[in-house]
Amino acid sequence: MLDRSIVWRRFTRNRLASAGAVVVLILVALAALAPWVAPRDPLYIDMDHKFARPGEAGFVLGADELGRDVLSRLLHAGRVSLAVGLVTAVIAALVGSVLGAVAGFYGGAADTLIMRVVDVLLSMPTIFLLLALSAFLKPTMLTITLIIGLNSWMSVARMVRGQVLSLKEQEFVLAARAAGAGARRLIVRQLMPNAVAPVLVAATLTVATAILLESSLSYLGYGIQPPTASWGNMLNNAQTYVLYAPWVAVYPGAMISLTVLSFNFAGDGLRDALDPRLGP
Amino acid sequence: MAVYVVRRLLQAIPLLVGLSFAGFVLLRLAPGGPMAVYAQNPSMSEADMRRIERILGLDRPIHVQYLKWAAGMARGELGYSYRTGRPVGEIIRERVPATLELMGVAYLIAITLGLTTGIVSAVRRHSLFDYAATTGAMVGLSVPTFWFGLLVIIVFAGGLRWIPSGGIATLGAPFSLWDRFIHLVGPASVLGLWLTATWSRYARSSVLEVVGQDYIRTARAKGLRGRTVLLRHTLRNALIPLITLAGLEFRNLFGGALVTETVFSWPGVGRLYLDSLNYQDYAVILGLLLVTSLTVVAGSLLADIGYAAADPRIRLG
Repeated sequence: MLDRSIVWRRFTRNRLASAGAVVVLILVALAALAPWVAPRDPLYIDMDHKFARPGEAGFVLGADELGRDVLSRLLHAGRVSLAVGLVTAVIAALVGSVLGAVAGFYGGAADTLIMRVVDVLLSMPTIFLLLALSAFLKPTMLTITLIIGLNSWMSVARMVRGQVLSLKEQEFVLAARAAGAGARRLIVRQLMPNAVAPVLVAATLTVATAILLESSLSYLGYGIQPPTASWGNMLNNAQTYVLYAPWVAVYPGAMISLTVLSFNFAGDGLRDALDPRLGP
Repeated sequence: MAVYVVRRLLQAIPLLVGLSFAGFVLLRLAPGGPMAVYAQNPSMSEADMRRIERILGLDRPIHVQYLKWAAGMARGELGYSYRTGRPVGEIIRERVPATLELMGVAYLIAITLGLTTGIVSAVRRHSLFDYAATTGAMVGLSVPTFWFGLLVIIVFAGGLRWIPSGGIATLGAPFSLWDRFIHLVGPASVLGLWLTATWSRYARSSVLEVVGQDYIRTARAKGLRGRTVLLRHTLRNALIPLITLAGLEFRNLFGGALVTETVFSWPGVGRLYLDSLNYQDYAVILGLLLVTSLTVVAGSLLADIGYAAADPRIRLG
């Protein structure tokens, strides 16, 4: 494990990564404060102002097909999209770490079974599988988060397994074993600490992919269901009026892009900052 | 080599078993199960339902059902559409050409554009071009395809009127190559540029890895021209691992195609999948899920074999 101050220095020196982290913090703050920051009720329907242009009648970013305020909806949708993304990353990191460590540590039948499941999941086109699961299981925020999370742990598992495999015969592990440490203690105290850095990087990047997946599902109508707004489902009907009310489609997509880009930059920067092979 | 191919094929068998098992479980997960479509019919009596269940074999133990189902799949029998009663294989086959056309052109764009930018990026590392290309690739990976597609429609179909806003050809018009081409431009560029991002990132890091090797320094030290070192020593070694990427990308290609087809109303397998979901046509849904997954498996199999054949450094066995 690297010295914290070195990691911090390397990360902050990377301008794109720092910018990404700052934007993420701002977005999280805006989402958390949405009920107080949003100028209007995101669900309030105002047919007199449907498709109000940005700036018209106090609608800063315009109104949608039901006269709802786009800005307020964006802020509230941010809560949904960020929550799904963050919880998904936690699920992926936990499930991936546990299954990867078990597969690597015990080997044998457990390893074979877990890695075959990984292979099967990695050969199904993600969106196809998620759409089917969501259609079969009734899409709610909980089920959407769970099905995306349970389809995102595979790369973490492969990585942790590799890490455990390469470390479990090393002397510090053998010493702990000789001192009488049990399997669980060996995994938790000796092996996992060495995998924390890569898992952290993978989790950050998983937030980005999870937000993209959620928005795609919601755009296609199988994700977060209206009236709850998510950045993806705000684009749900945009197709039909995109040519005469482009603002309804442009802003939510821009928010998705900005968020995903920020997490990707931050994750990439984190990877470089945690890489022990690079200089200080 | 032959031993490797056989071994690699054998390795795919547990994967196929796993896939068929996942598909079977998924079918049971569908609301109401396989009988849902009959349950909707008010003229069906309870006795009718039991009779159909017996005919379909649904009263047998679950493992017998799975084996019979898997045996049918292995023979290529994907069942019949719940909605139209037509064979699922036939329905899917009708949609394959449109998707193949879209994916093929997008892949071509991605490989040519991605490889060139990736190689130039690596060769001129830390140049302005490199920064622009790597940042651009990151943006490409972060922008949702459906939104990028909508932007293309707003600008090029709405504002500039250069391309139509969707479809594969003008409805009712006689076939013309230009008409087909102009309809393809939008979706193929959207899907292609999205894939370009991945290709350029992989190409760049692969070239950078080779540039740092001792044999490249040796080649330079021998006094070989920069061009010769680049073409004969660097690229030949750097591009071989990318064969694997060609196989790995199939999985993303299908997902990207589904979304792109939706945005541009392109009548391919992705649209068919979504339509089937809307009509709860589980037979078609599962058929498509299995067919696309099999394509992904076949793609990575071919890529691995191609990689092994192209790179003499790989020891087989």
